[in-house]
Amino acid sequence: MAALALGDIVALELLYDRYSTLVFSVSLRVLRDPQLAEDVVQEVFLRLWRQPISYDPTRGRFISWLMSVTRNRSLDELRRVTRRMRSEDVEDDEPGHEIAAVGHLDDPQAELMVAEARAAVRAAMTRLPPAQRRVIELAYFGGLTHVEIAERTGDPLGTVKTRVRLGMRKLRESLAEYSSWETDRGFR
Amino acid sequence: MTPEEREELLAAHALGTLSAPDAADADALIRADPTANAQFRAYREIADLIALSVPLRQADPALRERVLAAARRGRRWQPRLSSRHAPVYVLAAALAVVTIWAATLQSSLVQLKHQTASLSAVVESDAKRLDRLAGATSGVQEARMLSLQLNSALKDEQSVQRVQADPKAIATNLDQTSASHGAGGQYLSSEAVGASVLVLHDLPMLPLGGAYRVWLEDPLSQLTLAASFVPDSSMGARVALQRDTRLESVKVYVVATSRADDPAATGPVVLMAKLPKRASTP
Repeated sequence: MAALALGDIVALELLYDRYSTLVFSVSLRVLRDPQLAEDVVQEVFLRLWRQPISYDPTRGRFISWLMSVTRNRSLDELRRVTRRMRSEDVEDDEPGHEIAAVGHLDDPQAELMVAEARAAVRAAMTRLPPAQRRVIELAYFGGLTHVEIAERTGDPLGTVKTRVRLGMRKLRESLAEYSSWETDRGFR
Repeated sequence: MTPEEREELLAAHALGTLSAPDAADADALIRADPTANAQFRAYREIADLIALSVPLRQADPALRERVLAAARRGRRWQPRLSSRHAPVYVLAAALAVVTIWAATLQSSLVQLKHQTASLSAVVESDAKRLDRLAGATSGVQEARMLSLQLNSALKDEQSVQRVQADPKAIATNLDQTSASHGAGGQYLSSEAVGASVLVLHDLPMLPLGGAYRVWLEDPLSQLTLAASFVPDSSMGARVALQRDTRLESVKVYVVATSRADDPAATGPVVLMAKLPKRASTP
């Protein structure tokens, strides 16, 4: 990040190679449209380039910030184009073929840590009861509120709230060791 | 509120599923209760990890070059310059005008010399006179600039002393970042003096030609360059910041830059602080 702040284009290339696949995949999961997702990727990385100061290292890890920015920007775009026909169908219905690695990484150890964390998160999500997993995905990738989820699923509001709480608690228990992971070493 | 209701509220807030009124309630709880704050942060970390569960998809390989090309084309972060820097730039612009004027005249004179041999003596004489004139003009401008800089430094030093002497000055410790390398400092703000001072120590060494810059962020997230400085021999500094009366600053950043002569150059944030709200003025 320091090199990026000093205007080093190589640092941007490095960050792009390291995280663009993840940024694109998250955005695609939200938007279900490769063109829109690519627009978000471009905006996210150009924002990083133009305003490196917008990432505040004291507030958390770089990748958390990057995922948060990507998700928020994607949800903004989703609301803008008012495509509300996504997110309830889970996983593999996005366009394109799933690939194995996050990206071309210069640091094999970082790549391994990202891969391990991804595997752990996916396993934890898979272990959730389907109803809990669904409400969490609708909330996270769809940007829906409790009330909107209840309308979407037809479940009572109280049930939705309970499922969110139980699902989040189970994820917290499953991912305790990853809640302070350090995949962004060297970028803080 | 039962512990379960509380957990429900915080987990949902971390996930972003609350309506605006419920989110405001959650924010109030997080601010008031450190335990709730810690619980929310833990859930927030989990929420951030959910993004990693997506199946990976490959973007168009051409996107990489589009992003990098746009980055190369695009302007870097361009801060607004505060009004106290204006005189130096005005003087620099004036100096540039004088230089261009002199150069243009010199060029015309050279042309004349080629055209009319008989006038060469006169032309050369004029050229020398113009050189002297340009030199004298430049000297005056430099002296004015030096005078301005001295006056500014004197005013800054007076502000530093008055703020540090104000017993009611509010001190805010600066937060370290990964680029701090042991640096620290305080932001002192004095209502009575109408100025603030950064007192910094153990700043990291700068590359040759580098400088530190102080940026102030207003509530609209606009950044203003408040000062540039080079640390003293013990890598410390006392920097006076005149108060901007238009908008209250909410954050201060101390940034190391590698190019002191480039106002748009940025660098790593070495120290930063969220500033306390100042007392409302009548």
